[in-house]
Amino acid sequence: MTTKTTFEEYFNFRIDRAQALTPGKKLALTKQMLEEAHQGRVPVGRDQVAQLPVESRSVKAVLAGEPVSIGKARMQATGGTATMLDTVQGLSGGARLGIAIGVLFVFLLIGFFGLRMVFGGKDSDQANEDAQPTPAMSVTPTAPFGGVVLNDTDPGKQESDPASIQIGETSFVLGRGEVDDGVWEPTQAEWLEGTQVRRVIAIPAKMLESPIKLEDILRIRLRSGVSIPYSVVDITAVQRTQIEVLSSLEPSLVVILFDDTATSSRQVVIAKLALSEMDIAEESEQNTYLVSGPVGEINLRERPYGAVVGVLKNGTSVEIQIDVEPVNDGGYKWVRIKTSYGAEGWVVSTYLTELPK
Amino acid sequence: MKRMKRMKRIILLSLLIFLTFTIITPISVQAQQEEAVRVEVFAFVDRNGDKLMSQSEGIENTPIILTVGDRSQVKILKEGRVTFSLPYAEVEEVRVEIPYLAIGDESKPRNGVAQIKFRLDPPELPVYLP
Repeated sequence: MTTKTTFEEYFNFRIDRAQALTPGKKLALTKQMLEEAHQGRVPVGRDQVAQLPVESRSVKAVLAGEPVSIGKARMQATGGTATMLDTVQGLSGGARLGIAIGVLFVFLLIGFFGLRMVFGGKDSDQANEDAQPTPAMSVTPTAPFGGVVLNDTDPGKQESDPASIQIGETSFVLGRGEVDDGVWEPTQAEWLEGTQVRRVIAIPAKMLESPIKLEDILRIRLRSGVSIPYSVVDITAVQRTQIEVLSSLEPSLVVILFDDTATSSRQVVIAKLALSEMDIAEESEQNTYLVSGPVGEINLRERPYGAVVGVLKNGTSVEIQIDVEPVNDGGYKWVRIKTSYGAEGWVVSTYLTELPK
Repeated sequence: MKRMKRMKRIILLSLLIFLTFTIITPISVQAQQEEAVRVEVFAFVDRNGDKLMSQSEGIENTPIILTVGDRSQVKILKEGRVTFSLPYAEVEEVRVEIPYLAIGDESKPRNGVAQIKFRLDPPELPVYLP
């Protein structure tokens, strides 16, 4: 199996696993895999990765795109493909001996598996599925995905499900928590499935690097990519039976800091949706315009052709009021607008320019 | 002669009555037809499972975005509902989104009213905190 095929299979497996169906999610997944590669994690099978020692000079050189020498061949990472040149450079004699033993071992393994296939072992497909990555030199195979995922539990599946929470400088990737027989037993950072209006999140207390303070902004990133800001309004200890803290009709967040102790209370952080921080301006941007009159300013009138109630300089940001129908009068289209400082009135629409997207 | 004059009066009076009910009345009816399109939005957690928004089920203080054509407007949910008034004579379709919940829906006004409902199932909660 070629390196390219292995990578493609591994990539497809990750796509299936992450349900990354949109181009945006595939791009995000690609970036994540690139980061993993820089941490020395490389695919060696459809669902297996190997951990390279990133502190090794050779590995560092390959990751940096520099040429490295292995025995008589020089390898260079160039955009994901390796080229081999007949050049001897670099490694010490011990390393060369190790590589030679490794190569010999690989040939022995190939011979062994070849004989098994010829003399009636399992069929080849089954044998491929059972094949383990070859331990050679500094490459250490890891358990399937144990070393690459940041959370063992399933992530949320809907666009509105939280994917991560940012507390201060730390982001926690959230697994999906479920209630089983009335019990929720998170082992790491989890979002309790189904909690959409008041989102319920549990984080191991020991994982919190710095204490949360009142008015801190906590951000939840949904699987859709939308970032939701919350402002901390309460930090308190509650009895573990006080489950009413988990429910509210106000858009809010509760973070439970849990630990292994069997104490009867838990520290909880309650945060409300920070409307002022929420980026809905982008959604309504198409309704916002800039004043661009022919003489540097335009009149704001009480009604079309009515009394002048103000003057708007070019460049002023205004919002056309969607709930007031434009008026055609005197050959002009008049629209009712509102400025960012609250002034309202009528202007000629010709003197407004749509904000650049 | 007198009969002729009387007949003329009757005919004129009949014509006046006819004009009053056939021309003047339709004008006033037409004026009444230009009323706003109303977009009613409901968002609630169906705690009792009756598929209807009952008291104390309405979602609060959540921004709602209404989009009509290339224009949009933001309002905030109060007690699970919000109403947008649109004076446009022709509104083919409206779109409503709740960015906080990453959900949205579209509706075509009928008889000047468009209703959009967002119903959420209540989550299953544990009997004690983890």
